[in-house]
Amino acid sequence: MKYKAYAATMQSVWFSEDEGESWNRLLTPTGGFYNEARCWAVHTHPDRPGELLAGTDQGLYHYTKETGRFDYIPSPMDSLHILQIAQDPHDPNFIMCGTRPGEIFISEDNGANWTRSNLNASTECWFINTSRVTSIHFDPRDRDTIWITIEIDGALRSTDRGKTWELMITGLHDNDTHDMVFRDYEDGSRKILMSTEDGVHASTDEGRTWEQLQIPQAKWDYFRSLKQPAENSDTVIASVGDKPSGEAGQFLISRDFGETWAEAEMDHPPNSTLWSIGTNAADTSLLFAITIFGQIFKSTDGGSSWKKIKRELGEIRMVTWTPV
Amino acid sequence: MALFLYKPHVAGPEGNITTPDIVIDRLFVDGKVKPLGGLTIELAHEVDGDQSPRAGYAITALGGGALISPALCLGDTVAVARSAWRVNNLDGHIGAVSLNGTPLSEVGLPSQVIEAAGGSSDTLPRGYMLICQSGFSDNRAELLDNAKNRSLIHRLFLSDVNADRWGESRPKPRYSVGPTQKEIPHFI
Repeated sequence: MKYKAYAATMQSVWFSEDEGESWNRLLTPTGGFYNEARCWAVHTHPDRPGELLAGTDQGLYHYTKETGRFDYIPSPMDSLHILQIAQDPHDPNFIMCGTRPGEIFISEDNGANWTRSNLNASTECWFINTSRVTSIHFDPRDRDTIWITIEIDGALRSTDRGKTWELMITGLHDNDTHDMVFRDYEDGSRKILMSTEDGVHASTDEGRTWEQLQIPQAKWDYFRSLKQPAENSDTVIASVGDKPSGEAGQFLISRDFGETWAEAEMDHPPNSTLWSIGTNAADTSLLFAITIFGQIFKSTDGGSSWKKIKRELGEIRMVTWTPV
Repeated sequence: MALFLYKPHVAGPEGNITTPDIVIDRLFVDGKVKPLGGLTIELAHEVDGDQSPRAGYAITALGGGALISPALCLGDTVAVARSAWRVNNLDGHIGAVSLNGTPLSEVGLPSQVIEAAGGSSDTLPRGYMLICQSGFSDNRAELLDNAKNRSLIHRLFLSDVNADRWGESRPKPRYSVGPTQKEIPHFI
């Protein structure tokens, strides 16, 4: 399978078309956005092959393989930092963006019109001053339900597609939240895992209460990305680090949805916290991951082992890949 | 020392896009100097009463040739699009270019606007942005280049200044909660 990988960096978006070995940017004179734009988010949708949405400090951009460039999408977010992008798995025209300061913007018509959601996120935070959206999740079971994590304000759930939000933080040891994964069992029960600055928390009551997991294999408490290579599977990969931005990190893998964990093998020590993991259901064995300080790791065995790619990219914030 | 940093996306005739950042320090609307504080790229605006924008276009000084962009004037606010063409890319077919369906020859040709401001052809004094308003009210300004089958559209989203988007659901004041889940009454 041929695929393309994308990295959101502090010097715009980098593309790899050779399995991650080499990375290139579009040419500044023709690429559609400034090659030193700060980019935090890259997002693809399985129904839109060849397309990429990118969130920057200068607005939202849309890349297609036909144009070979980024086109600016006018939105109310131009003066904000677009840190997260999500599209409804069943309707790619329904786009949500999460920003810094912590706000949610929604388009139901593929970016033509935007609504600012009435999100009551914290307006000031310890350590980072300003709140920010760290992940957006369309509920795998209920299309009207959307979850977000915000640092530093915990988790919020909307049951009306982003019109209203409910804070879900009871039991959290830490409101500095980063990512979520969901497991729906055949008997109708559900378990949610959420990564935080203080470990992983689990909920078995739709987020009403959370309990911190004990993970003795974790060398540090700072958990960043949580990913299931296959939807609704028991396998979860976690990226961990000593702190943000950090100087060290590790991957942990659970094959029983958080009950037990093992450390994944790495052929090279990470130079900072492992920040983002990129998966795609088209091949659950292929994963990319990045450290915030520019290293790229690749796994071809579902996250059990990772090899560092020679190329480094400065400061990276997100990585993803998609078949082409 | 006021300035406005304009970051347009300039579409060339072959579809390529360049992204210069331009410092604007002199704004003219229909030949009159206006404060830079009214210049914006924001799309969402509040209006009081029956205010409605007037469609127009902006000419911006730039080294490789002046730019033309759709613009909308709303009271003292000048909302300029972040999309643009080079004026010199319209040479030879300016008659095929229209603003909201009206030929630019009727609205005011870019060359006339440029010359009136002390420029010539497609060059302008550094830092200038010139706005040429049309007579028509619209939330949308569209420059259409029929010869090259392309357009630039700028649309404003207006809301009543008296309407509170939160209504009765506006959140009550609350202190932020620290990462340790303990209430932090004051941390500054």
